[in-house]
Amino acid sequence: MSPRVKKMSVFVLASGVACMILLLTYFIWLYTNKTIQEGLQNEFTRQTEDIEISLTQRVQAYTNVLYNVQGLFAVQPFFDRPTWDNFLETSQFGQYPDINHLTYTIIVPDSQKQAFIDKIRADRSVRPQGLPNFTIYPEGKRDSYAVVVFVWPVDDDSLRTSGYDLFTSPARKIVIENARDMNIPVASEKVIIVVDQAPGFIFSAPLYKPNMPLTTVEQRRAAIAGYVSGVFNLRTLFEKALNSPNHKDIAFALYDTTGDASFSAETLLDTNDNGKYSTSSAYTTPYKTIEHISIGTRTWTLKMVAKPSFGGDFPYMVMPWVVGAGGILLSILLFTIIYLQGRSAERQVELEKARDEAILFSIGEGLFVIDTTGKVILVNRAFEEMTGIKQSQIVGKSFVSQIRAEDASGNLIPDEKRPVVKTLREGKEIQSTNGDFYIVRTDHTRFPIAFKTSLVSMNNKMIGVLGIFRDITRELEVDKAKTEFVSIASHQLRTPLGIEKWYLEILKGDSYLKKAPRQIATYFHEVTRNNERVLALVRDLLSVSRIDQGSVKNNPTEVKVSALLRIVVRRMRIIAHPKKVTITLHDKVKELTFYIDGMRLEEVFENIIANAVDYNKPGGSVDITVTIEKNTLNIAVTDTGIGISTDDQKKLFTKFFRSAEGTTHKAEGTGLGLYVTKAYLKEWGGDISVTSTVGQGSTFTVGLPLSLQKRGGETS
Amino acid sequence: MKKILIIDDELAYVKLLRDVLSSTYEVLDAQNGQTGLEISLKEKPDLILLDIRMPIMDGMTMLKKLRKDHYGKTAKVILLTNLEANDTIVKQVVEDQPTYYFVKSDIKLEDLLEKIKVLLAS
Repeated sequence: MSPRVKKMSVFVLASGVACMILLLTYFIWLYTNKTIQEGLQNEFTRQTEDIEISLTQRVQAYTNVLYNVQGLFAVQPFFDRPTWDNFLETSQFGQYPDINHLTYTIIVPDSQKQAFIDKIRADRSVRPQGLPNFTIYPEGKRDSYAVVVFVWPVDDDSLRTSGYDLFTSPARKIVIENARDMNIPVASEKVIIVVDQAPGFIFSAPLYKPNMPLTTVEQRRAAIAGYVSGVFNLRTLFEKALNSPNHKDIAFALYDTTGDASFSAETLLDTNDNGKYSTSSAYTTPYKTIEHISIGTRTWTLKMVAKPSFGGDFPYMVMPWVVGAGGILLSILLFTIIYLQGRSAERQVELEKARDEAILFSIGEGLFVIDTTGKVILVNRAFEEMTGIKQSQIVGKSFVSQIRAEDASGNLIPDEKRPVVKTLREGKEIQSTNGDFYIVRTDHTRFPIAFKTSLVSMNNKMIGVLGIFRDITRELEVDKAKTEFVSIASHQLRTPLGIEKWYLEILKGDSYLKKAPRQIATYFHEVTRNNERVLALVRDLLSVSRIDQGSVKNNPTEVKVSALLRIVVRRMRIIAHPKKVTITLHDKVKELTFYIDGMRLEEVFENIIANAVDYNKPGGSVDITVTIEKNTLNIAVTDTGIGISTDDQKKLFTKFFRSAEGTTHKAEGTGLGLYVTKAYLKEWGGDISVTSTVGQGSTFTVGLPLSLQKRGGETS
Repeated sequence: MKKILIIDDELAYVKLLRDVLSSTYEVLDAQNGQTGLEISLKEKPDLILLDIRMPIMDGMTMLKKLRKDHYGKTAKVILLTNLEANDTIVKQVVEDQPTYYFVKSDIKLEDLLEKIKVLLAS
């Protein structure tokens, strides 16, 4: 996954969480909002119902006032002023500031006009001097007059109203005649109260003569005696009666919509907010309601709206915004935290990846990883430098097709023999350091490699192969030069040593030397012995160099193994004799003929038997036992010598190794004999092993496969 | 008297062999394969002691040329050298009788003289 993709994923994760919080916030906001809207709606309904009830009660109260006067009239027809005053006083109408005034009106026929005027003028119940100026006005002769007799409250204005004939006002005439015909209180259209310049209405109820039938309109017209009328001030009603702190945020307008009249300036009775919200068509609010109230024969419509300030107090309106803002803040906070944490974790991963890559790419060995289909997953920088192929050119392609491998002779190595293919197919890790494989560069030059393939597994399942290799051109050159040097040096050494050897041999047989002093003879013997020793060393060195060069020539001929062993034993007894070491051969195996290099096999027998003699104790023994075990001919050589420690046994077959005890026991020795022996045996498909106890002796066992009995039986 | 030809560029060998053989045999010598071949064909020695690594013409080349001659085809030859037995040498010894092979520094002079004696007696 590329870092960019990972960066995106953290961003997506953080955004996702933030979005979910936002979504959650939205739902909480919706819920809160809904709850609050419902709460506000309920509150609005409660307040508007409150207002409506207040208004209805008020109207009822006005009706009651009129009914009270009707009641009074029924008890005391054509009551006098003290009765009127007393009644009003006990009725406590003063508690209704919206009652502008209340009038008591008597119907006077034209025939009784003068008598009526005289009677009022003489009435001294109002003031001592009576009402000398009382008259019915406007002037003029009419069939009957609806004369205002008493007015409450008593003041100059109301006194002036006394004597006014309501029939002369068409508006009032309709009201009172309707009230008379229907025997109910009847309200007027809107009137402007002159004194206050305030809107108001007149509300009148009929007063009938006692004990008269009132079923039909004619009967009511016959029985009519007068009226009680109230003028009610709507402004005062709105300001005093309906204006409560409990619903200060409700704006309302009252219309007279009798006969389906529409809302207009003409039908508007009054508002409590000068119409700022209540009658404005530009103002919208979800909280509004319209209620109808009957007053007499008229219909009033109360239009109520919530002012902008409605529900404005914490927490009603603020709550959703607190929730919303909180949610947004929370999501921003979470986004930031997750994003930063994610980025930080990513940076950590990137850092570790960069470190791994740095390690991977800085190692000197060429490295590659292929998947199970043989396609290249990655290569390192050393790989690129060695092969000349860039990672980008090879990734995703077949490794074996992109990298040509050859053997030492320059032949293409077939795919099935390629180590990576073998490892893939057989699940076997392969390594080689001997330079059998060459890799061809893009410029067609090539280099030998040492390599190792390893399985890459995950959960015990192979997912690919990892290969590392290095260029061993220089190592092979050094090795070759070393081996060649040893070979040449050995040959060159042989010539002078060989000459010395023969000259010494001649001298040895010379009669002059036989007569020489004993010391001379001893010196001569030492020279001869050391000449032999150097020659033996050179011989061994040559064997080693041949082994290292891989140029050991196997010259198999028919060899009678037991016969050869007997010859070697016989020869070895000559060396063993001075040390008083006895050599015994136990050969119960019938004579076998092997196709094997007899000279080298002789060298093998010589090496191990000579060792058994050389590292033996004086008077010790060497027992050679020949047996057949399964498919192997075993020749075990057991001595009673100094023995070899367990640690030394491990190194015994390596080049130039000599144990400390061995060196002490026998100074000369090249440390090559067992190395050469093992190398020869390995080539024949045989082996050599050792068991030993320090101080007691050792057993070297040479194993030769019985397959060597056939021509070409060696399994080299 | 049997005739032995020693072909070796190493004069110390030639001198020593001449010293030990001249009392019994007629000894001739040459210092390279070229001269050795010429002398062989002319003198037809009973035995040729042939070194391998020599200047001008090496022993193996000389031997191949010798074997083409009527005399040379049956001439007794001992390859006396310090070279280890390689394929060519082994092939020569096995297939091209009568050819023998000894490593100078390995064989005792006594054993060599015995071998010469046996070969010339047959």
